[in-house]
Amino acid sequence: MTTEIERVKLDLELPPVVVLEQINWKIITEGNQEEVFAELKKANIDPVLFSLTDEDYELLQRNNVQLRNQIVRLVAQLKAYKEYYEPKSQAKAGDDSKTFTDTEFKPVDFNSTKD
Amino acid sequence: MFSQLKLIIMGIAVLGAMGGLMYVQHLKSENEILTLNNQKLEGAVAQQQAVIEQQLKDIAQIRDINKELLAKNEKLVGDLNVANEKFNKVNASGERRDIGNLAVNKPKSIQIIEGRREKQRARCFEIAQGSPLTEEELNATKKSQINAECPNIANPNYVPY
Repeated sequence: MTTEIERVKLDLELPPVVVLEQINWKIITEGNQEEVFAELKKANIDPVLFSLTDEDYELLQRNNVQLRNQIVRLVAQLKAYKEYYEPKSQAKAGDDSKTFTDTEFKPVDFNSTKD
Repeated sequence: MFSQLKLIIMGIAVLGAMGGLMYVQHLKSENEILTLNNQKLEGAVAQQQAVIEQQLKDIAQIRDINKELLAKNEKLVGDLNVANEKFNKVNASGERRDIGNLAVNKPKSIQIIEGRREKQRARCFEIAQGSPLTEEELNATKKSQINAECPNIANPNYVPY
């Protein structure tokens, strides 16, 4: 006769939330370019800008939303799998979280019980 | 002669009694086996019933999970629509909103708005990863209170108006 032994639960926690760095947008037009570059020089920042057209900016924002949505979907799926295969009620039932009373946890002097 | 006949009859009677006894014993053992088999079958039926019940529970849970994920997905599509609408909004005079044009005319204002929006975008990514919502986010019901980048995940109590 064989007895099924349940696998030890993986019980992984979600990784800690990553806090993104705050970036600053510079809007540069034909009219304000000199002013923007002067500001950069004044702030001792290299006078160079990595730029996007307004249309590419729109695409970047859409890409951001798609990426964010994908993260939400994956986290939701992960949570669903965890709840299905490792429900919290079961995980708690098997752990060794029993608390001991003072008398149960009293140290035993083995020498005194020797014959 | 008569005593021999007596002995034969007695022998037949003893053999008959022994045979009867053996038959009864056989019936008893058969009965025990049948009782044991019956118990095993009853146990198997109970086990099968438990398996079926568990399977039904699993199917119900799977259905709930799928429903939940589908609802979440609909909300996410809503956020993508918000992004699309933001760039393609048509005003009262029928003109499509052009962020490029707005930025050419009011670069400073758009830069300030973008700075604010960037903070909101960063917060959206935190929420997407599982960061719990703040009281402010939960209680936001007005346009001025919401995270305009991802109201569907950041402000569950906000109803667009």
